[in-house]
Amino acid sequence: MKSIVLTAAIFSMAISCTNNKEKTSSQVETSKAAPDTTSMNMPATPATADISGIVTHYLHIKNALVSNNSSEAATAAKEFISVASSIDKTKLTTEGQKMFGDVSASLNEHATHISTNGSNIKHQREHFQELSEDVYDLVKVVGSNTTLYKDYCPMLKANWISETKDINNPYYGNGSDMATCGELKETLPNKP
Amino acid sequence: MKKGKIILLILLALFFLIQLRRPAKNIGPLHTSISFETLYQPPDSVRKILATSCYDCHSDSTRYPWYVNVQPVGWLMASHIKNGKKELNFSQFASYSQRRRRAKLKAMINQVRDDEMPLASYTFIHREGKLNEQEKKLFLNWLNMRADSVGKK
Repeated sequence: MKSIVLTAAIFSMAISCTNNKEKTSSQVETSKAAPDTTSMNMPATPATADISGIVTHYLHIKNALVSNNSSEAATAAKEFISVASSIDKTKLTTEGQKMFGDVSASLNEHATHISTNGSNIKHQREHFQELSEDVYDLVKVVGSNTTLYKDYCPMLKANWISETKDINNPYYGNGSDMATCGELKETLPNKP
Repeated sequence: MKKGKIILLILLALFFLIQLRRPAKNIGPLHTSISFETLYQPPDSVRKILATSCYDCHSDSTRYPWYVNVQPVGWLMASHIKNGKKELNFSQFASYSQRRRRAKLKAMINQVRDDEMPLASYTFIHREGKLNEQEKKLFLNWLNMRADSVGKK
């Protein structure tokens, strides 16, 4: 008897407290991917006029993939997102601002995929390919304070950017037969 | 015996309780001036694939089976749809930048080629959503053609 009363009490409370009207959602959603910036316990990155932070963290992701270190790539991608979001666009040239505006959502989206797939290096590499295109386009317009090299992986038709002339393929990684397979396509000299 | 009855009753009560909380349904317009099909005018064979294998999670218009009203199934579905649309929404594809369109076309190619999409948990229930070899080849060919013709700017 008591249990039945208890159940009925819970049930009637539930009915009175819960909104059971069915809602339909037909809002137009924003086309930009929302950044996944969960708290990172990092010191606040000061707004910067140049994109060297983006380049540095991109290279960090690249080197992690070369080492087949998926979780390191994920961590580096989180840092990348943080730095990319703290770029002070107003300090770039007009051209630079336009390009940054074009790529920033994309940088975020691909870095997010890399950061949330610390156990799936294949998926990280797929998004790294797109990230590389975005970073290349940005560096081409804004410039870099170090010399960079654009390398090409013919098997995957994928580009990547490197800080050294040596070919270390992030799409295959150390230990693979293709670890040093790739071609230097372009040198991006540093802009003083 | 009495203890068992109490537990059973409480479980039943909880089951009824969770039925009261229904997630909003994704039933907006499937095709609009900014939808994928408007933009690319795919052939019927491709449209069919999109409709049976993709749109339920990747558009503004999901076809709901009766059991969506039984929780927690409805919540799980809502979560899939929310994540699916965030990643890719065919109903609003034309609102994406050229850069994003190209990236998404390439992502579709990768995911379908590797059988990551459509999700196994989806095709388990929706058998007709699973792509056979012929459909897969057709879809990938079309996507590849599309991706090649979309520039970045």
